[in-house]
Amino acid sequence: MPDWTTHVIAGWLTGKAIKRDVTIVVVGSLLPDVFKIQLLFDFLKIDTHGFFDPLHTPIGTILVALLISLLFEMHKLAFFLLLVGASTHYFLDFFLIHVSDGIRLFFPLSWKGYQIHAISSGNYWVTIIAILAIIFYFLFKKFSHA
Amino acid sequence: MDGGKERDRRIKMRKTVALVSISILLLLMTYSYIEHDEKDPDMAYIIKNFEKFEGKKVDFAGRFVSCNGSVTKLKLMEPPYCIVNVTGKILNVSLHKGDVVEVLGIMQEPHKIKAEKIYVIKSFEYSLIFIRSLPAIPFVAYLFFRKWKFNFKKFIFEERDHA
Repeated sequence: MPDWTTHVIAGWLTGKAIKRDVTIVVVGSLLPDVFKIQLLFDFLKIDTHGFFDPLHTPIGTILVALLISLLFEMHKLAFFLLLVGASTHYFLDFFLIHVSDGIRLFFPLSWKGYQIHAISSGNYWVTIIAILAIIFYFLFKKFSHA
Repeated sequence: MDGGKERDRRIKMRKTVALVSISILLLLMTYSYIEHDEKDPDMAYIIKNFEKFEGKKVDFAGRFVSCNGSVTKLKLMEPPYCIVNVTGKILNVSLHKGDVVEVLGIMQEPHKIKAEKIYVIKSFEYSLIFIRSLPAIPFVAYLFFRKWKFNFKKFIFEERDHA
């Protein structure tokens, strides 16, 4: 996983780019990592036996986004924005290096994982580039209004 | 009167969608739980059922413990959190205690794997992922709740007046 800061910045920039409510897009950018509740069970040494795995698949994310969107008056727009954010998450995760496996795009029809294997999850340069991108965005905005 | 009926219809629709979504999600999670050993077995199952996996490819992640000659010892990061001995490709890599090693290799004995492919994340780089993630949580919470507040009566998020 890239770190959450990178995911959030990617979601924020995407929200700004499509000129929509960034707050919902940013929440969507972390949505697939609801799966990280797993870490709590790992810490407690409780074997969840893959129970939470579907939360980090497109179908699981769509269902979670659908549930959250029901908490908004404009639920269709909220659902769309949550999915836009989640898409940025999967896009970034897609480039991570692993020895095998990857994102189960077609779960539950297929358990095959897909991955491009390009960037190490320990690579902090991705975060630095994301932070620079957000700084450039603010500078560009400031000077374009001046 | 019509407004009230429309509101009731919308609440009913939301409840139905929520119920269906939760049901499908729970079904998927249960399916994943049941099929886990067959489709994506973890090391606890593999070690326990070694005869099914002997000579087959397995993958796992572990933390580097020590290296004794041709054998590298890794502590599994998943149940049963035991030590496994890894031979093969891993010998060419410089490792330090705590480094995270992903291994794809051939199962030779219950606790012995011949690595074909490995991927190492240095211990400090692995910790840094979590440290870099921490600022995101308060940032997202601040960003979201600055614009939205939860109405417990209507059970929906509403925009704050100043937003």
